Amino acid sequence: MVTIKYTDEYYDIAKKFNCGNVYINNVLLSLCRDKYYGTTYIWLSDDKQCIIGFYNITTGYIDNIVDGNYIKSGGSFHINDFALDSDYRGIVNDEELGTTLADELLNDCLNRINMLRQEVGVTYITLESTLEGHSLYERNGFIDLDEELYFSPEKKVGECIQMYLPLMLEEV
Amino acid sequence: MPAHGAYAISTGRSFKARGKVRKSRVMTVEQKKRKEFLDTHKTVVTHDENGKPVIRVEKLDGNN
Repeated sequence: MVTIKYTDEYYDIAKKFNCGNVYINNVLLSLCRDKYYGTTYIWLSDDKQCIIGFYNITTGYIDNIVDGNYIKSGGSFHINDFALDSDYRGIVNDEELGTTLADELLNDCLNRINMLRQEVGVTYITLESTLEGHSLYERNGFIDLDEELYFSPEKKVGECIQMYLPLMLEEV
Repeated sequence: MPAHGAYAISTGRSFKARGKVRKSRVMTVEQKKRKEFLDTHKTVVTHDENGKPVIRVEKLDGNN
């Protein structure tokens, strides 16, 4: 696959993208074309016939609520949207490790963020996962934000689970 | 006025956490193995004459 920054040039093939979620399909056709929403990267098939997946990233931060006060814990890159076309879901690229195309796309996204964080100091990656996507993020190190806070202030589709990934790695 | 008295640029959304938020993490052995594989391989997707996906996994040559 080839990762490319999304522009209107790819709008026609974006119309064929179907992740099985109408809202997210429409996000690619609408919000993702707005540069103020975030930056979108699409994952094109190697013959450039179709979009296999995409993600949109922007910035944010995590607040710690201590005694009713909101204290900034650290800045984050926020994954606004992350989706894989239904036709490519569940395709395993290594039987032994059980990695799928979704893991590969997420790894591409995390590597890009790691590159961007050389310029922008951030502590976390945040996202709001659908129930279906939760296991993907969990096996890649994301943590549920807080058991008491399974909510999304701007609920998109169904239930969302707020998750975060600390970027700093500890050596064992 | 920014909260800390400095000129700060802040965009995007905030997440609120009542519990303690971890600032670092440890990668499990399994996560490390998977990361190593994903960083050194790529899946090539093309389509046959009927439009069906043709998938193969390639090892990157180290220059990528």
